[in-house]
Amino acid sequence: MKKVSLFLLAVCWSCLAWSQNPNASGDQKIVAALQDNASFNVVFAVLLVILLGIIYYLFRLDRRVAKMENVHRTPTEK
Amino acid sequence: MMKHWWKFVGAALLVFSFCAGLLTPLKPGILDSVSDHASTSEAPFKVSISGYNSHFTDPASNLKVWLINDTAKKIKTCASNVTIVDDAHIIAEFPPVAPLTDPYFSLAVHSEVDGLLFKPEAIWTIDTVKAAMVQSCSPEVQLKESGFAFPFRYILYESIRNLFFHVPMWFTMIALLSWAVFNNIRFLRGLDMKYDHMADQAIRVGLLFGILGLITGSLWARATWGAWWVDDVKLNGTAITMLAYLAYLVLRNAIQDLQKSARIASIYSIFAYVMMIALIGVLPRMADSLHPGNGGNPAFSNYDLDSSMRMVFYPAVAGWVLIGFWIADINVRLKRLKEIISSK
Repeated sequence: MKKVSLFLLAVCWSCLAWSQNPNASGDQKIVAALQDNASFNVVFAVLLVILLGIIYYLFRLDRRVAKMENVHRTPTEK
Repeated sequence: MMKHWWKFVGAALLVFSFCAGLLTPLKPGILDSVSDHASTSEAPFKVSISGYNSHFTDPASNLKVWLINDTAKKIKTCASNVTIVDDAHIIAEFPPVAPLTDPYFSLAVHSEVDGLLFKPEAIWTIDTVKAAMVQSCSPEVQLKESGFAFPFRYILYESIRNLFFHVPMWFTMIALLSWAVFNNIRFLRGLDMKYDHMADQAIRVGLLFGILGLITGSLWARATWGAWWVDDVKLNGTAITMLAYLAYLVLRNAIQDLQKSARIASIYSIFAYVMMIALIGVLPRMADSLHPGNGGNPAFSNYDLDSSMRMVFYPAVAGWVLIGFWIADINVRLKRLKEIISSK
């Protein structure tokens, strides 16, 4: 839980740093930044890694649960 | 492995909809148009046009620009000269023209590369004297199909992609809550705790997707309506639904006796589900609403979804629903394992 909190804090902190671009203000800076293809590709790549991470986590959890189910099967299920 | 096929399908659909939903470009459109004269009838005037995803400098574009007044009669005024500034900017010069019916002119730009770009009510004139008749030009253009791209819609712009995230959240929530009610009824018929676990986890995961739906909807509202939350019957209905299901969790945890808790929670869940249908599905259709799909505001029509969006939207819905059921399934199995281990 502590690691997750630290990770979220780090992500929020980096967003704050990104929003400090002095060349633009308000919503325009986000639009301008996203219209720049290089920035958008980075955002997309980060989001894709997060999504793939969640899917990998689900598969891993599923497999672990399946293993534990095999170990702790009730006599009627065996 | 074979019994897990739906999990792989769900993951694949999700990755596909995520990549296609974010990487597919919008069709070209007119982002902005500004006239250098407040009056259009006194002298020739210039209109600065900003395109979006446009390719005005392409030698093959062969640009044609015209204004349209009186959309019913489609009176057109063609530009006498078009100056290309860059890929996204052109300046069109028009001869003096008095409005025929209303003070607004729509703007059309045709390019052989980008197709027809259209902006309704693009410029406005201060002229109050209306023309009896305006000579109309008839630009010859051939409309062609553009490549795979999402539609360029005013107000929505790039936020149109949120359709692949916001709407599937609600589909997943409703699917999970329907599954929960089905299991609530099965539990009440035989009092088998297995069904209660399934219903309980479906509600918890459904609630998570509902909260994600509220967050994505709020972000979308900020981008399009200018406010994080508006006093709208659909939005308030979803908020009440979320609160009703949060109350389910409180009720469930408030009763110590597991059988009693499961029975009361099941009955409550059935009533909450009926209330959800009324709040989200029925009442918004009977009142005026900003939200698409309500109060005479169309949704899932050609206006909102064209074929390119459907190709991503339906896989996104299927993918998120399968992922939702997968998470609920893992939770049910974990809960069962905990019970087995604690009983040993």
